[in-house]
Amino acid sequence: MSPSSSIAAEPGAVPVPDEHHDHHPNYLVDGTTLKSWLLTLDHKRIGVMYLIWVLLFFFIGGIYALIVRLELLTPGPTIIDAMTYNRAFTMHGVVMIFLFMIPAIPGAFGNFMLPLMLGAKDVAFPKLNLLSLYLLLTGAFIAIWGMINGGMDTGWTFYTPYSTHTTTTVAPILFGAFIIGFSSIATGLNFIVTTHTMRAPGITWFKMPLFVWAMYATACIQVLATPVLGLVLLLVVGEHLFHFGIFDPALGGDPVLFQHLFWFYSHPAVYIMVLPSFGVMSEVVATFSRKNIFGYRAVAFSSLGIAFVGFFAWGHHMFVSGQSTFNAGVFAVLTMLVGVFTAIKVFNWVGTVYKGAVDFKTPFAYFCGFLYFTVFGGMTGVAFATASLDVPWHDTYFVVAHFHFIMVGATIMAFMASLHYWFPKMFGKMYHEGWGLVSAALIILGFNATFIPQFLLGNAGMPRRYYEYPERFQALNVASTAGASLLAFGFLISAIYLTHALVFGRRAASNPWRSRGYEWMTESPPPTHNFVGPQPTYPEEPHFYVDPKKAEVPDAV
Amino acid sequence: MQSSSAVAGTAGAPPLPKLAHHFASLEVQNHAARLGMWLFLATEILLFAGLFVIYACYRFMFPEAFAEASRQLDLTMGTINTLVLITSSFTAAMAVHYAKEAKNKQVVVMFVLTILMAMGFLVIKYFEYAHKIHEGQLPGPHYTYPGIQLPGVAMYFTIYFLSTGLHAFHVIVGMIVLAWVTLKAMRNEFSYRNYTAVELGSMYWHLVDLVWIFLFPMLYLI
Amino acid sequence: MSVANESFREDREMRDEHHSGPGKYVIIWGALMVLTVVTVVTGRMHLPDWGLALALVIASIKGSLVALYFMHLAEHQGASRIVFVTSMLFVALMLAFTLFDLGTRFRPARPNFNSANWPVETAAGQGGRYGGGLQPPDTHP
Repeated sequence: MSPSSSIAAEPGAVPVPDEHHDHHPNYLVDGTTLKSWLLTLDHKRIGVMYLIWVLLFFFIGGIYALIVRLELLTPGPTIIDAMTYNRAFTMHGVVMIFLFMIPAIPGAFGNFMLPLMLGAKDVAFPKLNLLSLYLLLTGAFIAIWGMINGGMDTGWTFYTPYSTHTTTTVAPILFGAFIIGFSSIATGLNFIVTTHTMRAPGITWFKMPLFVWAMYATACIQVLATPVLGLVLLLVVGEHLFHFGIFDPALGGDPVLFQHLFWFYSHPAVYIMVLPSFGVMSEVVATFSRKNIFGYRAVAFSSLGIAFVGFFAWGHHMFVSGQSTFNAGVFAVLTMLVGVFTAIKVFNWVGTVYKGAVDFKTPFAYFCGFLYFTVFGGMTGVAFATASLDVPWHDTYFVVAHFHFIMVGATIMAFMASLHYWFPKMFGKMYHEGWGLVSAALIILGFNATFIPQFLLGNAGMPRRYYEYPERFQALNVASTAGASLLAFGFLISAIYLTHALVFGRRAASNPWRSRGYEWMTESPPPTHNFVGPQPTYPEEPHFYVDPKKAEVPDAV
Repeated sequence: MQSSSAVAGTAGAPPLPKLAHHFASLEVQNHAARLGMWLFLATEILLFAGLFVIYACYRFMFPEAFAEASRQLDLTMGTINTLVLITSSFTAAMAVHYAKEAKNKQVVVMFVLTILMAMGFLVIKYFEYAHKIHEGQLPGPHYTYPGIQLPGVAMYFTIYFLSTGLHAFHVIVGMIVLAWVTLKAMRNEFSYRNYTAVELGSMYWHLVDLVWIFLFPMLYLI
Repeated sequence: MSVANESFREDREMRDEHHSGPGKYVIIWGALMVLTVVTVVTGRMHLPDWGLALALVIASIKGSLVALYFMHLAEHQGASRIVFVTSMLFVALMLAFTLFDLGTRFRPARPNFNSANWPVETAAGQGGRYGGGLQPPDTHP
């Protein structure tokens, strides 16, 4: 067995180059034609392509965000008119949610890491995997074409009856989202089947890495919730074009029914966005505390718990919509349950760091930011679940701050952490650690500066999606825009040093973090078929740093 | 998904299927294909569920209009359609049975019958639609049928056209899928070692039938 | 070495389940046809209280027969059954909560609002037992 696939070798040791490596090139160089990339069936190449595209979409969404923030620098018109402003915040939402957040961690890192973590050579359906990438791109291009042709002005939630009556380009953008939905379903289906059928012998369900658990739970949500969105999108496009009147009160329809169907998908969708980031954090925290994860089963089950309970909570977006107060009460209570499962994870992560030997690298810095943002974002979420608190806060900047705390604060911190953690794995190069910490600090500071003023604004009553606002809110808005600029600057710095590292970075060892995660048991970057020779075996659990029987303080493990 | 090597025109044992390199064995590959198909069917179930929710809400709000409008539908044609679809489901299940026994000719016969019955279903649907268009029983603002003027009646026809339209779309897709599998059966590809394509195609067809089993009483028998 | 996935167990179970003759499918088909006739006959009777429930029960039985026997769920263990059952559960969930809303909503907010029987007589009616209504300035509650 070559050293690269033998786990008896000391983790972190650079494998001795031998003849094997000449016959088993890494996946990046195995095939250098454009066709070998565009028609690849290798999950790692597909993951890399996903990464490139979602980063581009993140950039586009970020441009829209900066346009919105610049406009809000002054109480009156600043750089654009009101209609353009409506389109800008709508497009910011649509691009960020459908083109970036939903596909990002599953498409880029899930695709890459899942087979490696399960000791498999690929995902269950590689062609379907490639198709899901092209579906994302097709949908994205249709939606972007719609944006270029004016963009829609309904808000990303496109509530009826406005969305069926507005003359802006609703149809192409929603149809683009419809196609992206199929991409999401394909990815979810692939991951579920991979987890069920392609685990290496010895990897039982409770020996799977926690990232896999998180991706599995995410995949379940994708499969169950996305079709309902698909239907809603079709119905709204149809109603926009043919006016049949299912959701239009003028034609006897019920707009609240639209909201029920819309949020039935869109609330679990936020867990599609956040669960993968929880999975990444479980991996990062164990590696950089050099300690076994505290309470593996609790973390594993809490992923499933969040996925399950997330389906029972959608009405909390509709407390002021006209829905019955009985329903409001039911949804308020059920929403609180999600907080229980998230809290379990937070306690377990903290329990992992406690008495661990922390190696404060960039991914761990992002973990610290993530933890702080998850706790405060999550707690404001539970506050929102209390219907009586939601009523004054609904549609104010308090909501905006809450969900950005989770979506940017938690998910994007995790995205950055996974990018840095798995950078050497995916590209075989190491980035500059100093710049990594600097940009992490800028991003965390910039994020706080952007969104804490928004909590204050929302509590003071400033509504969201408003083009003009009273003078007294200007100071906080300016502070928020300044923070957004700092945040953008932090991301820009990351982009620079990461691109530099891709080209000029020093060659990384196979396992520079000395992690005991399963994906680190192969070379970095991995060979095309993930391992050379027979399937590796995994005698220990993932992230097995301390044997509880031999630990100095057994109960600390 | 797995592909079978085609051996055109040879009389003899059907060839073994190709095992994809990333699967541990043929059993794993077949199980993965089946599980993947079930997951896809689950998404189809959730898709139609949205329409059933819309139906349930509006029926709850406009019970008289829905009952009256439902009586406008031709129950005979609907019943025949149901019986035809159930029988086509039966022939699809038989096709899987014969595929496991490597009786490829019977598989072709069964699937051809299924497709013919599906076409019959669509023909009857065409007549039903034509009648409605003629009468003006159309969705939303296009509703011009003077016979019923209860509030909410146009909503019934909107839901009728949307649900049966989406269902008919799936019938057409199912026919195409089954035609493709029939072509493979004509090339003698199926046996106990390899009947996955027949099984998956048949499963999709059963889902189409399953949806109609619920649509029929909800639309025709209010 | 422990087998980590269900595939081998499933295949063994399917092999043991030697494919019986076509008789089983004919019987199920027959049952489905009979149930269709039952649902049409009972449907035409337009039973006021239990008509809908009966139709749903019969449809569920038919659906279960198709799923269990035509789609072989009765033979396949494990994940396929969970997938099917879970999808049905979530359909029920979607239906239930949405209907709760419509059933308990403030009546003027419903699409079928009929202003003829709204507002309902409350305080000023019912003999003024619960206060309210317009009272002359010097009365005490």
